[in-house]
Amino acid sequence: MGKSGDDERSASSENDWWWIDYLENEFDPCVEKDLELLLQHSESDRDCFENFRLLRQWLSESDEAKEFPIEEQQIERLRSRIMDHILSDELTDRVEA
Amino acid sequence: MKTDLELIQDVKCGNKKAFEELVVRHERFLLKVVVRMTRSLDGAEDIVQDSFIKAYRRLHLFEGRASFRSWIYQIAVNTARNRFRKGAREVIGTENVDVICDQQMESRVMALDVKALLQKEVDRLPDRQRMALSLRIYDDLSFKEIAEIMDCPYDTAKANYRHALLKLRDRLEQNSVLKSWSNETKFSLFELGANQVEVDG
Repeated sequence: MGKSGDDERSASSENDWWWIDYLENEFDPCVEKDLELLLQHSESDRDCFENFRLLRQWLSESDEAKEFPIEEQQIERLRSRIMDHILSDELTDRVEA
Repeated sequence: MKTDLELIQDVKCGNKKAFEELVVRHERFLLKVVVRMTRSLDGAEDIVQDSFIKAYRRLHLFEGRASFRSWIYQIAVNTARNRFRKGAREVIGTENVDVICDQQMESRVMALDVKALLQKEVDRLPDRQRMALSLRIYDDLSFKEIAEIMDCPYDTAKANYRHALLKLRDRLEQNSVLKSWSNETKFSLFELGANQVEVDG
C-alpha cells in the first residue's frame, strides 16, 4: 500500500529537517557519515540539501545590515552620546540606590 | 576581563563609567539588529541610544537570570516596535526602485530580484521564526545563545529556525522567479554583483 499524501509530506518534512540540521552542524559525526552516504547516493536528497545550502547562502548575502556599513567614527559618536546621557542622567541616583 | 555581570555590579555600586564597557561590547550587535528593522542607520542609532539609556535606568531590575545581551536585545526590539507604531516603517518596494539596466546587467538584476524577494519573504515570517533566522544567519549565534535571547528552550529555538527555512524554501519554489532551481540559478548574489547595482529612488 502506498503512502498517503500526509505520510509523504511528513517523511519529506523529516528529511528536510535532517538537511537543515546537517547544514548547521547539529549532528554527531557518526550520523553525519550516514548523511554523507545518502548525499552520495540519492539525487533527490542531494537536491534538497543543495537548495537549503543555497537558500542559506543567499540569505546571508542579503543581510540588510550589510547595506549600512557601520564605521568606527559613527560607533564612537553613538557611544559618546549614550555616555553623555548616562553621566548626566538625573535618574542615576535611582540606579545607585 | 570582567564579565557583563561583574560590570553591571560595578554600575550598580556607582561606577557609571563601567556601563561604557557594556556599550562597547554590545553596540555593534544591537545596531545591526535594529538597522534590519528600520532600514535606516540614523533611525537605528536613535533606537540603540534609547535602548542603552533605558537599560541603564532599569539596571536595578536586571537580576542576571538571562544574559545582558538578551536583555538589551529585547529592550531594543521593543523600542523599535514602539517607534514603528508611531510611524509606519518606510519600506522601499521593488516597484519604487528604478534599476538602471541593460542586457549586460540582466544577471545583476536577477540577483537583485532574488534579494528583494528574500527580504519580502523574511518580513512575512512569524516574529519568532524571523528572529531565530536572523540571529542564526545574520548574527551567527549558536542555538544556545538564540534560545537565551528568545527566552525559550534550545529545541524551540532550533524548531523556529527550521520552520523559517522550510517556509522560505517552499515560498521561493512556488515563486515564478525561482520556479526551477536549475543549475544556472545556483549563483552567489555577490558573484553577480548584487551590491553593485545602481538604483534610484
